Amino acid sequence: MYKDRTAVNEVLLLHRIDMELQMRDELRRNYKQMSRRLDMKVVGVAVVVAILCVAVALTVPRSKFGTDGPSKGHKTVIVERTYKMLEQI
Amino acid sequence: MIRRWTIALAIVVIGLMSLSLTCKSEIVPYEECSTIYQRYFGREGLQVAFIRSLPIDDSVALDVTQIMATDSTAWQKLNEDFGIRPLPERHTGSKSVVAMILTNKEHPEKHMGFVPGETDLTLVSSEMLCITVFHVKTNNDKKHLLHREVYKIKNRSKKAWLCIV
Repeated sequence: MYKDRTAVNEVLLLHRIDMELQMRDELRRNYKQMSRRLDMKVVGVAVVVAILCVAVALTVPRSKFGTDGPSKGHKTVIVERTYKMLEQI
Repeated sequence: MIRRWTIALAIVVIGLMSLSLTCKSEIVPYEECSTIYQRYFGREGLQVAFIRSLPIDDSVALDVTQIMATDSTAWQKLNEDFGIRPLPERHTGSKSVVAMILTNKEHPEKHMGFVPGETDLTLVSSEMLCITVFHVKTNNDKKHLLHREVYKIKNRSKKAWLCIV
């Protein structure tokens, strides 16, 4: 009787170990799936940000200045003076 | 996890680099600036600026060279170079007046009728001691420049109409 009980305990234990291994595998699979989804989301957002940067770079009109490379404040003064002269024709 | 963030960071950095490269290329090389800019660049008593693609209105952008004199001697010399005679006071009065002349692209002292590709539109302001040369290429550019206020009003009313529709 004692031997039967030990055998039954062993079988139960093995069954339990098997269940836990299966759970662990499933958790691992879920983790990989979630991780892959998060990877794609993060990379997707990064790609969108990069595309926006490139779109801004290409589409925003920008005046270019000659080699004396005036400072930003000076550029504003030059442009404002130009428009002021146009208005005074 | 590290790989994911590394890839994302790399992509964002590429995007930012392209943005910064475009911003950095704001300076026009000396060789590409106008003849007038090259002629007057570095001269004593003058501040010279060249602007590429200055927006005049929604549809037209022009290259502009601006020369400002810092003293009356330099202004006088500039007037001589451009063949400008000072306006009599009875024409100017107390108002600030900007005179407009059509000058030859290569020889601004020659004033002429408008010929597309050969003529620049030059504005002269004695009050500001400033000459601004618009490097127009076509009749359309000239029209948009001279009638800028008209086009602005037209565009405003067009936009208002679109909003209503």
